[in-house]
Amino acid sequence: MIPFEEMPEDNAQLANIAIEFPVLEPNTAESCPVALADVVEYLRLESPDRDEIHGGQLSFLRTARVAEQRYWIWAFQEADGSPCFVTVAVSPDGSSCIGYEENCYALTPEQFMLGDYHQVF
Amino acid sequence: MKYIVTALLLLVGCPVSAQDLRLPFNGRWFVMQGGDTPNVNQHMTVEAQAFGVDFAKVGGASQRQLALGTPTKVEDFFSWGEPVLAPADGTVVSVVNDRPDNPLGTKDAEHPAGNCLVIRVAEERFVYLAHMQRGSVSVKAGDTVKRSQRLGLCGNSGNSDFPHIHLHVQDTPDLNAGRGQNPIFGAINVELTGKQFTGVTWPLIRGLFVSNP
Repeated sequence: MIPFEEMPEDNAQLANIAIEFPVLEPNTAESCPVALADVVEYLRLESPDRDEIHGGQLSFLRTARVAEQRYWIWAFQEADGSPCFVTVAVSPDGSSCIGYEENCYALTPEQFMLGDYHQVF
Repeated sequence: MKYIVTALLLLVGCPVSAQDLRLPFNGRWFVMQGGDTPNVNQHMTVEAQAFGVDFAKVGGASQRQLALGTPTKVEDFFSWGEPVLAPADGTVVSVVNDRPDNPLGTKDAEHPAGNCLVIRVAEERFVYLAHMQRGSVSVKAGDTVKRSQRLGLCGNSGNSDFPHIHLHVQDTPDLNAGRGQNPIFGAINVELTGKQFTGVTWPLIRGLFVSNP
């Protein structure tokens, strides 16, 4: 795990970091404690595509354990073709966080989750 | 068995902690004023109201609008007429219920709380809810209230120029005396910088969108 102090100052440099995380068991979208419908509802508020977003657009990629957090990550494309990641991060106390960002720097899912964990986006 | 009884007695005797508060509404609301510095929270300039929070309901397609279109009257706001709910179990200390609701854009600075109520929720811990609709407060001094119980309706009375709910917690029942306490709400949903957090227990600051689970 790369500590925050060693994170690059420029998000673009995240793409140069080699990082891997173990998957959760089971490594499935269905194991996510946040319902897909809630993820879609969140995207309808946050994405410029709004009501055009539906669950079928989300492509589940993997789960991960990032330090103490459990992650689920999906990829999707906005109407203008922008590639995006959406994540659900669950803390040990059961609280959760849904986040989404355009993948401007062609990050891998692992690099994106590292950046999300350190809240650099 | 005796341990269970002892534990129950301890729970009964325990005062309401800061984390025991529930947001005093249903739905999604915006924190208009909140936080621990005057630049994000004007209430910090009044010792008794320190850490006070102003909430306004949001709606519309973006779930970020205070009203549909350009509001011209108080009824246009999503907050107007929304039920105000008890944030904790307690006893009503005082009620004001006869102040007029201000037309949009005007204030009654001589009666800053407007229609309001004070609930004692623990030793030296009083919750103030202010700016309610005239005649809408459905409890009276001495009543026992339960968490989530409907208390009245959001209005625009007192030092308020558009409908919203004011809440603060202080250590005396007197609006002009005592010290404010930071109201931390337990296990709520918060939207912060485009991320949706669920089940978090955080102090509130201006700019958050919040709801109960």
